[in-house]
This record gives sequence, structure tokens and C-alpha cells, in this order.
Amino acid sequence: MDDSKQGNRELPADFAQLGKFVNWALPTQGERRVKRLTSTMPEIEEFYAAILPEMERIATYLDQYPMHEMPDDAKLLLYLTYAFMAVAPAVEIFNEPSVTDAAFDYRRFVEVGE
Amino acid sequence: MKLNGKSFTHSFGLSTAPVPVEPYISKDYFELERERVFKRSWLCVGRVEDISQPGDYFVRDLPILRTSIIVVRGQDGAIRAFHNMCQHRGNKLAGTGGTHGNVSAFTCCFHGWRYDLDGKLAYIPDEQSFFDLDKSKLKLMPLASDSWEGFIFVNASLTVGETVDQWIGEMAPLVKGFDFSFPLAGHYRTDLRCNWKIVLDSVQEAYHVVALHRRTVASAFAAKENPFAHLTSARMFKRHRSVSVWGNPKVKPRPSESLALKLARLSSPYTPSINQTNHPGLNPEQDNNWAFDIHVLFPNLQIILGEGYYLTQWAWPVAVDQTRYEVKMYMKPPAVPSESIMQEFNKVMLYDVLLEDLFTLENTQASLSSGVKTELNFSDQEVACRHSYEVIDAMIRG
Repeated sequence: MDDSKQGNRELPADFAQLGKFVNWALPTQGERRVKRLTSTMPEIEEFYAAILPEMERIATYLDQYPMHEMPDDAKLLLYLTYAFMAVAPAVEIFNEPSVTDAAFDYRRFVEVGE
Repeated sequence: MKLNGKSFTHSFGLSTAPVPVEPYISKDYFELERERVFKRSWLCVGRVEDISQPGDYFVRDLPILRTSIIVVRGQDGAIRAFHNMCQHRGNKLAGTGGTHGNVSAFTCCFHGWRYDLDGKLAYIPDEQSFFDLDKSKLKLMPLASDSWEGFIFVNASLTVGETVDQWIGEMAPLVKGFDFSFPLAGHYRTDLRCNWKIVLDSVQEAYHVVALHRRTVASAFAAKENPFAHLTSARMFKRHRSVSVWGNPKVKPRPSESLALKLARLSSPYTPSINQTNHPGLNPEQDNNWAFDIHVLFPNLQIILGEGYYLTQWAWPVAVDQTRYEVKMYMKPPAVPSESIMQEFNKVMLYDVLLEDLFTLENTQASLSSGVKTELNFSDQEVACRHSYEVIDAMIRG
């Protein structure tokens, strides 16, 4: 049996160097948002800077699989790219984890059904 | 002003006078909206895909109708809506709002009365202890229901004057034929301490984009040649309305967006230049530099249609100063994993932008509720807000 089905949190070997960021590989948008909002800017910036130059190589790797038949390690990698998108506004726009100044409290704006 | 210099407001024969604050803060006005607007309108409550199989149902609480409804697909495939109320002593039959599932019958948890999916009372425990019961008169109480382009509508009026087709009316060509089969990609909700029209007004104009979204998406919808994000076109109908939003073809994408665009052939609401569409309803006046269309189905549903995605946003009145806001984003299914990365960009951006949109609403209500200010001024770019006010006010007075 494929051991990746047993909650193995390892990225595909081609991307082993990103292993230190595997705790960003979260399956839902809500979890990724909370991770962004509870991380420091240095942590976010480090993650963003590490993933940005790898994104196209990751995308090419992921596209060898059909969307709904990805092995678990590839899925983790996919979640890393989602987490990259989740933190991008913090780095590229707000320069802090949250939507600054004039913003509604995100804890009141909830995902339905996640 | 329109880009070519003509006023939308004049061309639709609307007033240019200030509008009163009263409709946003008056309990009496709210009660009239309940009786004369919401109880007489076809209200969209969901999509047919939400209940695709016989026995699938969902419950929606509709405080504005002072009821909770069950919407269910019967064994015959037909969709029906009932008041969520046992005909014995009135208990809620199928839980409260948000409850959904698949059943072969509805059984009341109180005394066990059971109903078929078409509303017929099928079983009463210890029926012989009742007096002169006529089970055929104890069906679940229906609301008129129908679907149009996959949107499910209900109508609480006992004498529904118009079919949904007639109700949609002139809006039909703008919406009909759009591919609404896209799966749900994001679904968010919040309860706001403000009037429902404050929510609706905020999603039917683009005037706010330059100021409120200055940090996020203003540059996608305004530029030197259109510094105040003027609409490219607008359409005001008997009740419904539609406006089209200008997109900046020269917007400079941020790194994440550049990546997203490179990865997917799907479009983003924030990158108008790649929105090229063949759908006849989209970009109805074929404007250059079009971003997306905002359609408002009277009274409380806003639909944004773009290439490869659509959004629905509801403002459900709860009380004069309470509204449930709900948004659903649907996107074309990603053909390959990398396209889903693009979609994640869209979802994250939408969410952060909506946090900005939501920020002003309760503050506005708090200010208006003081009663200090009695009138508001709408610009020509807020023509949809004015049209909304005039249609509702005519129904209230009528």
C-alpha cells in the first residue's frame, strides 16, 4: 500500500527543498487564511520568496496528473501553491498579514460548508 | 455621466433629486417592504444543482417572509417549496436554515407525522384518536416555485400574477444561455447590522472602487482615460437593472496574478484585457475595455457574469437594521491542476476585496440611524441605487 495515504506529509522528491514549508500545505481556504493571519511578516515573506520562483516548475509537475487523481504528495504541493496565493496580497499589497485599515473583521465573514 | 457624455439618470427618466434616508432606517418602511415588496416578488433561493437528485432538499429561513421553507426535489423530479411547518401543531419539520440532505419523506420529530415529498400527509401515529381529520386537507403548505436558467424562485403571494419568465422579462437576454453549470468554488456569509439596501447599493455601483479599493483592485477598473471608474453602459428595466463595468486594459498585474494568468486560460475579474467572450448576453453593448456585467434581479439578488465564472450575492433582510449577506462564486472546472491555482488567486482576491466592501456598511447604518441626516445624493454613476430606490418606493406607495 502506498504509504502516502497514511498521512505522510512529504512533498514529491523533486521539491524536497520546500519541505520546511509543508505546514503551509493546508486543504481549505479558511485554514490557509488563518495561517496567513497568524503568521509574522518575516515568516510570510520567507514562504512567498521560496515559492514564487518555483511556481511554474510546480505547475508543470502537477499537470502530469488529472485534477482528481493526484497522489497525496502532489496534493500537498498543490496546497502549497494555494497557500502562496493566500499570502500574496499580504506581501504584494498590504505589507502585513491582514487586510489593513478599512477592513471588515474576517472572523465574521465565514466560509459556508468547509 | 456616460463615457460619451450623456446622463444615465436622465435617459432612464429617473429623478435627480436627493433621496430620503427614511427607507434605510424606518421600521414602518421595512414592514411595508415586507408586505408589498418581498411577499409579492419572486425570490431566488438557490440553484437546481443544489438539489439534483430526487429526495434532495434544503431548508432556508426567510425572516422577511416570517417563515422557513423547505425546497425539495420530488420522486417525479419536480422541485417544490413548502413552509417548513408540520400541519399538526406547527413544529419545524426539517430543521432550520442551512439544513440539507436527502430523504424519502419528512417526519416531524415532535409526534411523528410523516409527509411525502410532494407535501401529502402520509401517516399520523394513532390517527384514530383524532376527531374528524381530513388528511387530504393537511398537506404541507406550498409556496409557488419555479426555476429559470437553473435558479430556483419562490413566491409567497397566494395569487401570483406573473410567471417567473414574465418576472424576469427584459432581463432575460442578458442572462439566458450563460453556462451556469460551473461548480461552486467559494461560498461566504455574514450577518450585518445594517439595512439590506445598504448592502445591495454597495454592489450595484463602481463609483466606490477608486477610493475604497485603492490598495487592491482600483487600478483594474480605473485609469487615466477613466479616472473615476465610470460604467461603460447601464440598463434600467421595470424592476431589474444591469450595469457594465469598465476594465483597464493596461493594468499591471502583481507577481501572483501574472503567474495565475500564465498558468490558466481562465480569466480573472481583475484583468479585463483577457476577457474575450462569445456569449451573447455578456458585455451587452460590446464596449471596449469591458470587465464584467452586474445584473440585479429585483429585489435582492446581484449576479456578476464574466468569462468562465459568475458570482451571486444576496442581501436577505432580517430586520430594518439586520441583513444576512451571502456570496457564492462559481468557476469553470479546472481542466488541469495548474488552472486551479489561478482559481485560488481569484478566490483569495475576491475575499480580501469583499472585506473592504463590507467595511463601510455597518458604519453607514450607524450614522444614518442617528436621524441627523435626512437625505442622500446619488451621482449618475449610482444610477442603479437610485433605480432601486424608485422601484421599491413606487411599490410601497402603490
